[in-house]
Amino acid sequence: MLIPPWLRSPFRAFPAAARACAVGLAATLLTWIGARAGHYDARPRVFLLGDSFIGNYRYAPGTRLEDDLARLDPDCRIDNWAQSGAEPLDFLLQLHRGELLAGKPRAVIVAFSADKFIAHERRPRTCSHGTNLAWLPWNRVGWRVLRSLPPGQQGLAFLQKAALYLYGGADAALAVWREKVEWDHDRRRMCRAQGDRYQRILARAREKLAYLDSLTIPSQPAFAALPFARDAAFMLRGLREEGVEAHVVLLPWGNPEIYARVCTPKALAAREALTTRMRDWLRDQGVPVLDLTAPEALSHFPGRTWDDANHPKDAAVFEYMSRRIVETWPRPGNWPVGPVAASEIDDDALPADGDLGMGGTDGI
Amino acid sequence: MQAILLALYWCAPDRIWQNRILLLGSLLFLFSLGKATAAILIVSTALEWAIALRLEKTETPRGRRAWLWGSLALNIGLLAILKFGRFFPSGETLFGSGSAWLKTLIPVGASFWTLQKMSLTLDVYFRRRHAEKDFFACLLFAGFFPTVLSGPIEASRNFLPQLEKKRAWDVRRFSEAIWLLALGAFLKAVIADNLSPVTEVLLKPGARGGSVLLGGYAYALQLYGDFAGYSYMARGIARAYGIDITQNFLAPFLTRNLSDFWKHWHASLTAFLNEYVFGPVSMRLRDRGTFGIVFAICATFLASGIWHGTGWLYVAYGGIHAAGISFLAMTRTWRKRMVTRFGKEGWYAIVCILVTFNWVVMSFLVFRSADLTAALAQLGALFRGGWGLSGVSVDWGTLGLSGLAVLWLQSRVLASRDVFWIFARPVWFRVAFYLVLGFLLTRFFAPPDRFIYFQF
Repeated sequence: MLIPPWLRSPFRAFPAAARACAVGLAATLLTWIGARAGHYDARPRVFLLGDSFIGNYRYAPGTRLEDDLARLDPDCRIDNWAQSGAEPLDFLLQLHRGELLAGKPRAVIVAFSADKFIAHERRPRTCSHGTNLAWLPWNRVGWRVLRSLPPGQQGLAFLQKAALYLYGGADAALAVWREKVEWDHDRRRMCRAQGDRYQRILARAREKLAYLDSLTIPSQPAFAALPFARDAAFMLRGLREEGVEAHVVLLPWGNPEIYARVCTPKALAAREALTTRMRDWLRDQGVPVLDLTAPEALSHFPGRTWDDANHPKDAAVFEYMSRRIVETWPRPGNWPVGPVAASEIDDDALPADGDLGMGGTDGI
Repeated sequence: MQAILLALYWCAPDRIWQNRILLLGSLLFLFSLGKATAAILIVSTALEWAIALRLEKTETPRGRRAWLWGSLALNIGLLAILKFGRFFPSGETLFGSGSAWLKTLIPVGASFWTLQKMSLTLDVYFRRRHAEKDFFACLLFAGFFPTVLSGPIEASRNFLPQLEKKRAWDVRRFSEAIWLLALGAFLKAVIADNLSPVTEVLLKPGARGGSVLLGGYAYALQLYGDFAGYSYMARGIARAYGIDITQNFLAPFLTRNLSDFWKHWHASLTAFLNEYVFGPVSMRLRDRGTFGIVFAICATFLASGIWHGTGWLYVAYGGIHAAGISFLAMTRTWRKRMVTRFGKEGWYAIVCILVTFNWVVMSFLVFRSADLTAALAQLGALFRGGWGLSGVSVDWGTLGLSGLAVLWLQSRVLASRDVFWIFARPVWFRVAFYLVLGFLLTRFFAPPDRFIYFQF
């Protein structure tokens, strides 16, 4: 009785809008069913989470990290959910995206470099203006992340979640477009690049790395208290709460040749100090770590294997990385750290409300 | 908050409760903008209301004129004190350069609601409407939350009668409100905010001719997306409450002359200035022929320029438009001959559209500049040449797609002379369009920038 007529028969009241919603929902449902079917595999599933180092357009299909890993261990199914520009909170959202579209993984490999927590310029907490918030899970982890967002971003998260159900089909089409068309185009452009490109890369790297000269290296507790570090700690604990085994790969911090050319000795020393902080921080998290910043490992990442300051392009890099990963491969029942109890995860793990909004964060 | 207010509003038993709920929402919004803004608006509206009542009771023309001038002095004086202090050559405010306390008093959107408030008295003076006896209705009119920040500038004779009867729920009108909101959000969040960094790159100091020209086009699209987006959203919110407010934007970039442009761009300000500046001045000078018209045009655009902001920059902005429209007034006969010779459509129309658009872009370059020197430097670069874009990183995709989207939307509006053209389309088209619009809105929005017109 109390329900107004337009709400009782929305198709009559809003013929186009209601149909648009129905079409969107149906397309999403079909896409998700198709994605699940496409990802169906009886083998244990491993997700790769990371930023553009891992989700890298410079590698042609068949030469990417997931392809090398799959060749080395055919008993596992590897899905790469890395995304360009991803921040630690995005890693968590990528995981839930993968869970929804492919299924729950047995383990995840999270790869990032030592500068991941350093916000030398105002940087949002999630990439792509917060569109990843659509993948916020409907569980306690999701609720805690939501509570840690400023009010405006909470509204955005609800909007994105609503849009996710309407535009799941379009999202899939966009993802295919990006991988098959945009990445292909970018790779061709990179191959055709002229000689002055290297000069532009140098200039950009000089500009981007200038902050290292004035950077004050935080103490270890201050490093752990950085907003992005707290997001990453929450992600790692959240993974363990959900019973997903996490394995971290500490990636080399950039092209050594370019860094040597554009950085002052002080900046290089700051880079070393921050790498040490990151190593210590990872040790405190109690997760297995594959450290690719050790001197022996770094010898496999010489300047010629990099495309620009931060992205490798040589197939040998991923071959080496995949060999090292498989040596310490997370196998069921063979993990040094088991799932933690939910009570171990406290709300302090996340930045407080407004502490690190989508508007960005100040430097350390 | 909006959802609660809207639900309460439509559950209200009569118009009185509907008005109270709207007033409550408006007051909450005003106080959220700042106590100073709310206090200044309430006190000045009370004075305006009292003046309008006294004006109605006064019978003698002299007495009526005195009350009118009192109202004008109150409103223009308030604006001058709070906003236009920097007009002085020293660059100081009326209270000196160190008047930090004055800055805290500067109310948000004052240029908009001051004009809107003035129509309470102006409509009574010109006997277009009786003086409103209900102070709270006047306060709701002056501080109506969708329009208080950046218009559209509404006339009291259009707004106040709508408060005199209960607004009835209408599904069709609600659909139209949602459409306006979605379109406005698209123009702001997808078009304007994505173009903002493109404009920044192209119009950085020292940019060469080609970069300035392209930057001018980008800024024109950005400004349209920003201001028209706000106006559409304001109109959509008002419509969701069953209130009709003026259509502020139609298809400005497809108009064939500057005179038409101002009927499509910020139409509510144009209507106000036409009614209260151009009309009276041209009537008074009607015996002076073209000179009278040109003088009235200059007076109107001087007022428009000064209304926009502080300093000589905005006088120059008004001056560019005044020069353009004066040229149109002086070449009326010649233009008629051209139309007779070449016809209204075809290449002549295209040339007219291009000339108008480029003239407008030139004025926008002035409008965007920090000061007159910077504006002259950019205009100078435009005329000095240097059309290559080497060394400038142009986001052609964003610029091109935004331009196409804006032109397509404006062509639809122009074809039907109505922003609700979508409702005349078949259902399948609307379904597809809503899906695309929603997708772009939720996936390609940029981090929000402040609305450009909030500074006024």
